[in-house]
Amino acid sequence: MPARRSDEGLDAAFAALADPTRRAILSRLARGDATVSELAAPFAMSLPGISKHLKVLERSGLISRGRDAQFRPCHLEVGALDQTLDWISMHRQIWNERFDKLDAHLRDLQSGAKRRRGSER
Amino acid sequence: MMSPENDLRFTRVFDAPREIVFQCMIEPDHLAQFWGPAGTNAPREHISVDARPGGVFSTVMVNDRDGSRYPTHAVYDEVRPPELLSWTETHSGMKVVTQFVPLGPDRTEVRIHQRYVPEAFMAPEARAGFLTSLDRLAAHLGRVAAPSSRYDTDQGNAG
Repeated sequence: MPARRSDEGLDAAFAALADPTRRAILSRLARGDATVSELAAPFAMSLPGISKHLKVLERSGLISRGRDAQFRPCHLEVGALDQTLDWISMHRQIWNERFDKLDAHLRDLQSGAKRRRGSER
Repeated sequence: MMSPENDLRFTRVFDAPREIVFQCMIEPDHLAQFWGPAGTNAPREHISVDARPGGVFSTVMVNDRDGSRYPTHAVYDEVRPPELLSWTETHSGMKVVTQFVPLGPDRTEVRIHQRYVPEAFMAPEARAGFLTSLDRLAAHLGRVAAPSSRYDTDQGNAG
């Protein structure tokens, strides 16, 4: 079991997972390492477009890239993914997001007492 | 049988009176505004709340992008306005206790304690229909990448 990741690390990983293209890339990598062009093949997306997604995934720690300067195959970091998806992380994130919305809603309610439907932030 | 990794405590302070925060957690009009985590919404028409012991609390969270639906169904265990609310999800066995602690007239600390009750509820089937697309991803990736892990399930899409 890898060491517990920081909240920032988890945030980055959840942000990375929020995008369906990036989830599809991870699913592909779960079957084995792949190069950028192999990853781009199933998507109607340019290589630079895919590269951007890969950078996000790499920063989040969910994937790593090989050293081979030309191909730099992508590798799924199963441990990091497992940790991101573990029960505690997932539910902490859900409550966190839910309560961000509740916080905004409560502000609306309280300012709405004066102005109808105020939505200041 | 309870293991610490299935036991989550989460605290958040809100700048609002305790009564209002409590109302937000039991009134569908309010819940619709915040119940779905980022990337999802919780339509008002699918929220039902009968806030008394034995009463039903059910919601459907809908993914903004692809419309996937994540229904949840729970039964209230305790309802003590405005200080405590607890329910158990019937599909997952997850128990959630929410305490509302006043820190001042316009400041409230909300403490969530969430856990699975019997170990049996940790079965893949119970996890499968659960909450977010991340679960589906976990189930899918686990099936492909780590067949011996706890995500090993062939029923990844029950929800």
